[in-house]
Amino acid sequence: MVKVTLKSAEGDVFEVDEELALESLMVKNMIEDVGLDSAISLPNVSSTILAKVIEYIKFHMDAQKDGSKKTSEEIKAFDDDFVNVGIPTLFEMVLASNYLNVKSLLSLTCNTVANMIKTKPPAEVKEMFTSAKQAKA
Amino acid sequence: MDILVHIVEEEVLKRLPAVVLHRRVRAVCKRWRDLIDSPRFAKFHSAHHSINKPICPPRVLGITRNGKELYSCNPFVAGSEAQKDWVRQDVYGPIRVVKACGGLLFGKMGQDYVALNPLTRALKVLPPPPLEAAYISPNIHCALVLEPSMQRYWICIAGDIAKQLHVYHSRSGVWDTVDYLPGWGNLKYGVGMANSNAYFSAEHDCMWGILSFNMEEMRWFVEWSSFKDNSPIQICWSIYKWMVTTANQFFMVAMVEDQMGLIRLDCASNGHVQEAGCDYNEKRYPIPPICFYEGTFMIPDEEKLYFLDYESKTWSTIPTQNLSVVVHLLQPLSLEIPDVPEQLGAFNIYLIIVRFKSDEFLRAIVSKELFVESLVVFLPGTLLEEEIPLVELKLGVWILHPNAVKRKFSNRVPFIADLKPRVEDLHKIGGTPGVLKYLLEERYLNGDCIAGNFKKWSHLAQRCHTSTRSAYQVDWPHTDLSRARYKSLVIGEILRLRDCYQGRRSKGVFGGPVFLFSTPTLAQLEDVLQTSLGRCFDSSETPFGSEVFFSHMESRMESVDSDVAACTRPTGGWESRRLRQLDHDPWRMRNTWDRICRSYVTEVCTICAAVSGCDHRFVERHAAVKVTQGEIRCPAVNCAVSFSDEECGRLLSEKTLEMLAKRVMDLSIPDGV
Repeated sequence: MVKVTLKSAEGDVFEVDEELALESLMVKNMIEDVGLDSAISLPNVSSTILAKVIEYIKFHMDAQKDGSKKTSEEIKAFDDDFVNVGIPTLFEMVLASNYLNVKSLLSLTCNTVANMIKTKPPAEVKEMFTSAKQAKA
Repeated sequence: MDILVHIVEEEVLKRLPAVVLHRRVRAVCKRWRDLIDSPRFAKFHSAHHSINKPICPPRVLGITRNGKELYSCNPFVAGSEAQKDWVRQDVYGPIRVVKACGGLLFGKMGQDYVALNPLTRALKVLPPPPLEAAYISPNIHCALVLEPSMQRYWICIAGDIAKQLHVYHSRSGVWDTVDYLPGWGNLKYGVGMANSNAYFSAEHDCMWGILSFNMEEMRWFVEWSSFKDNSPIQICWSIYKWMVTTANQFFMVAMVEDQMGLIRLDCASNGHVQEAGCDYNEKRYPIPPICFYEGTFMIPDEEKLYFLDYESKTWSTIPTQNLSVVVHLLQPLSLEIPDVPEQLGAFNIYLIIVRFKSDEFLRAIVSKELFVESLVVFLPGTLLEEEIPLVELKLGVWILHPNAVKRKFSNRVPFIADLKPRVEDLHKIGGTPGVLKYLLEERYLNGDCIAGNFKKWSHLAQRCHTSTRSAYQVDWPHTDLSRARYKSLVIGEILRLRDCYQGRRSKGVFGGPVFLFSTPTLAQLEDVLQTSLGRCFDSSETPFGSEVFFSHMESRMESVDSDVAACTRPTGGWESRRLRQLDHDPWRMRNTWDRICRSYVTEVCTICAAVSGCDHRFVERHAAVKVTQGEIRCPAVNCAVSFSDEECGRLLSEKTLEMLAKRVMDLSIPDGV
């Protein structure tokens, strides 16, 4: 199994299967451009978020494999649990999935954000984004 | 951060329903307001939502001749024979289907013309179409047209005498007229498609032709035309026939003795091709309409449904189980007609607004425990259109009923204020169901609610358990409700009035008192209102402030019971009448001009608050209106109106109010994220 080395913003190194890394269209393009020899650096993604993204892709790849015993309920439970994080983390995951171009994760996180907006009055929605902005700054 | 906002705008907003976007997200910041208002975004949004809808092959709908029952089957779904069985579709009552398009039926139930989606059982009663009595046969002259996204529909009726096409649009809710294409007449055999076009066969002086009318562009187009002397067409045009179209191909189907004549009209060459080999061997006559789907004609007769494959000219049949059906094609879809909830058991309906045609079902429904904790406004059908806003204003409730969209404030009613948003706004956010949904989400209402009409309620009533309690002695759980958001008021025979209580409104327009009118004569209505008015007057908890609420009612009441003719006069009118009444009624004497003026101010604020969704106090602070002696000023819209005594009632025109409301809404939106 060919391994791909991913380097997060903090410089932490993650070694993952090539198959898994290819789920990210951005990494896929990078591999096509520079090859597998050097580590692919992802300066926009922090280690914690990258670890989460890898966990997500891994789970879903396992679930899709033949002989997987995971039911759709289990997958949904995993997804719900996966996005059950604080708003700052969720936003970071939106950014990371957009940057890494992982379609399924982007749609999962965006749906979560959409559901949040749905139940909040305008002031709170604004507050949500302002605080995220401050946290970033 | 900018990237995040960008992603949210690109990916998140499109996932939100339109109601949330327009009522809530729009108010987050100016940037989003402009984004959501932009046509580009509207297109983007609807594209996302239409892509996610699965497209199923159409079902074939069979209607028994007497219209009592609907059946459907799925001949186009590959698979076992079982799918070709006719499944009974449960609808509300006998329906005479006039036209079908997509998944929508246009037909007649009793005296009403309705739009019905039999698969979702959504029903909408249409305003009466302007049929020119004997000269129009709905089957021949009508067409039901759908927008490609299947969110809107039109119904058009060709009126040959006035040479006008009557068009009903689901968004506007009214019948409109469009002139024929000059020179053409005798429009017949209307067919509507889900491409916003209606097709008619028509005649010119020396031509036959197929005309199409595009509903969105409101434009006629000659799809096909030919000179009259061409013989097969001649036969086809002058005897019994039916037109079938796939939008770019037209077929005329004519029955000549035992032969089915099928003529294809070629749009490119303006010629026609008589198709051979379409012998129709059966001894029975087909029953129109004849449907066409993906190269297959469907021709029903009394016993069987025939499928004719156009390419191979092969016949196949399925039995219609002696249903004697009329077929229509149905595409499962959800239109903006409100759905009937499947399970009633779990319901707590807090706002029920019904307009009854008789109080027969009133009795049936009100006695149900199901409705006990409900906020109810029953409007029996004897109430005039003009009285509805009256009741709305007086009760501080919002009445949504099937005719709400077509209701206009004419100059018959002195227009002071309309607590509702404009009709366009209502449609923008998804119509009545959208509003109800929004109200639920905003917790103006607790639990689920339904907008309904007579048919729907009669249907619901049938499903409820029977109870021995009479309609007019409803035990209303006051104590429980007093802890809830709404204080309620029920009047059965107007006896329980003393127990009634004008509740404080915690938020917005809703939460007012509830009246149940058993016998809604205007005199009684007035009696009720005056009595409760007296209580309001003593209470400091009225929504408008006691004085204002008082004059509120005063003015509205006047508008109804005064002479209609007097109101239409450009000057004088009801204000002076009111003054006269004030003179001889000591109770009303407490109302002074000052109070009347202040009531206008408050009304304007209330409207603004209601339309913009802003806090009432915000409106008062920012936008509103200052009354000095003889003048009302709205700084926000830079408008000052001076008035004389006689003009007072027409001070704030509809236009001003709209402007004001819009302005307030925009004022309240903060700057960018």
